[in-house]
Amino acid sequence: MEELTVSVRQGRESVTENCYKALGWQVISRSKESDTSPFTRTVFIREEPEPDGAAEKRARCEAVLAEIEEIDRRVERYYLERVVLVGLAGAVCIGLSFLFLHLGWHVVFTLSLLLGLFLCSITLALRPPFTRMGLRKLGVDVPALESKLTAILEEEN
Amino acid sequence: MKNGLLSSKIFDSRAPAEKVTRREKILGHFMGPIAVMVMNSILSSYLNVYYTDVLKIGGIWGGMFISAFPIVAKVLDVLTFVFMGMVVDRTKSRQGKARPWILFSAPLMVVCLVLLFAVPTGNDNLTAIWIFVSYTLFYAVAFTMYSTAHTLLVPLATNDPVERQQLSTVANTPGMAAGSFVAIIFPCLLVPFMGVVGGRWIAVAVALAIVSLPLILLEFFFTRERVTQSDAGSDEKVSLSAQLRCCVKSRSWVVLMLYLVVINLVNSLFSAGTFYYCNWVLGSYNDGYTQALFYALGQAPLEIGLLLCNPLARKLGKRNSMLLGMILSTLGAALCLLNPRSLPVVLAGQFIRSLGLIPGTYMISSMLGDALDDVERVSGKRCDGFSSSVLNCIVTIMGGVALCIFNFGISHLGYRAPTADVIPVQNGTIQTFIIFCVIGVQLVAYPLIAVITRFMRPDRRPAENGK
Repeated sequence: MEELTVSVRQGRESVTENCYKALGWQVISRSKESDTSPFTRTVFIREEPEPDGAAEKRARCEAVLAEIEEIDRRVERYYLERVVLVGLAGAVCIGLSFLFLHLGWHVVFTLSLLLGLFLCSITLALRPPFTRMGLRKLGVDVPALESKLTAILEEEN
Repeated sequence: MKNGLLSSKIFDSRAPAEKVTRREKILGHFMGPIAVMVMNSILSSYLNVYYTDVLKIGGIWGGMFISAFPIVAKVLDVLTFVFMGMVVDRTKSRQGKARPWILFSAPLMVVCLVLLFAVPTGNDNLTAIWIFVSYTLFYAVAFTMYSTAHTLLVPLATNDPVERQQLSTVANTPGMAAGSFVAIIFPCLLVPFMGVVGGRWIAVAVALAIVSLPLILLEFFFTRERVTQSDAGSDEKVSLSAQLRCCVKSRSWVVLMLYLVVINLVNSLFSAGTFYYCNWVLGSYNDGYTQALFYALGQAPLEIGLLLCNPLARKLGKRNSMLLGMILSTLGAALCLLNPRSLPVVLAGQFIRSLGLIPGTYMISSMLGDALDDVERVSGKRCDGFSSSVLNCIVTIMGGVALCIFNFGISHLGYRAPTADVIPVQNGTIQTFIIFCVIGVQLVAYPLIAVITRFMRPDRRPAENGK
């Protein structure tokens, strides 16, 4: 029996799992490092050794998956840069609220604190919109790569 | 219910699309629940304050009423929660199985909200009975009905895992928004306005009820259940006692439940005591900023610290991240205790404590997932629903236990409620008790949790021939 562990990014689970299933592997477990981790550690097994040519086909599929992962990594960087800015803006608002409190501007203090907390809280929900923006800005074509993957899987050995 | 009232097309969802649309996400899953989240945040932070400082019920039956009724009500809440789960599961209607209960709970919640505050005074026994009945009606009936149904709306809205993930993010946002809104607007603007004048508190409750009803109806009309029982698959029925036996065989499951008991008790005591700590110890009564700052510095790092959580978990693993987090939180609590009356010291300590809580906060679902996998590994059975029920029971009961402890302490140690004219000074014993409930108990609990996490199974490492 052979075992393989793959770190799968959020949103790519079905593509990756379908790819390995088509190559004769079965999923036995999935786990995440944390609730908000973008990666799931998926463990695959196969009962019999890979037939001739299957290893080469798997390598080609993994190359396409690696290209998709590279795109995802760039989009993730885009998201992180922007979400850090939003979080910092929230921290600045909270910091400014101390100044407004010192000046006795209680209503402005309240609004500044509320805005700061809102900006800090919203960082939890910004992954989907920033990911979409990142994909648009980078102008990448993930569906084309997924089609390429499907084509490799459909080839006869 | 199959041929009953909800068969009429007037009750049909206004989200007819086969896929979840943006309108459904915004109106049904964000705007709709926000009112209930605000309601829940206000009640969990300020209802006890209303009872002690405005209604002044601390002396009823020698202080036993205010100590005992929360735990009794929470036990009833747990029983109705289990019952409600079965009822929702068995519901078959044109509108689905969960959505009808959103509709039924709407008028019940707003009426009970007003009843919670419009308490008759002048007769201690009548006041006590009214409070107990209104509290139980709200939490054990109306809110249980709503929350059981609400929890199911996301899983029932779609089978697509990507859509479900997106919807889950949207559905979690109202809770954060409501918590922040209540934690800032209430102490800064509303509570100084309401003071200890009962009529103003009732007016705010009525205003909240009027605003909430249409928003809860938005949730009913702009959500849709697309997942049916046949899609979900039927699970093998295992008795509750058998599921419990399976679960306790798993060390991960037992450790997780112990962790949840301790952390929920600490968090509930913290929640119960925060208003009193900020108003009687750290700042002055209703000064309009102490509590807001205390909350903000305690919450902000927890949210932006999300970015630290994933790399930490990847490098150290869940168990070690939790352990380090608890050590950091203990240091933060210890810093607060160095001078619990100094705002700068306490805010710094809160900030550090919050950083330490990041792993525990953002790993709980994945720890539950690991525990459930471990239960399956040792016993061969999945006990997901049972474990989720146990988790909810723990959260509910610990809330009641914490209120019981806190109220017993303040009612027997000489708490003096403020009046419209006089803001008293609380005696040293009361202040020490409040400090213990909010900060001191963390100094005991966090090291205990660090010990408990030592018994968690280490994270599974990839096999040698794996990537």
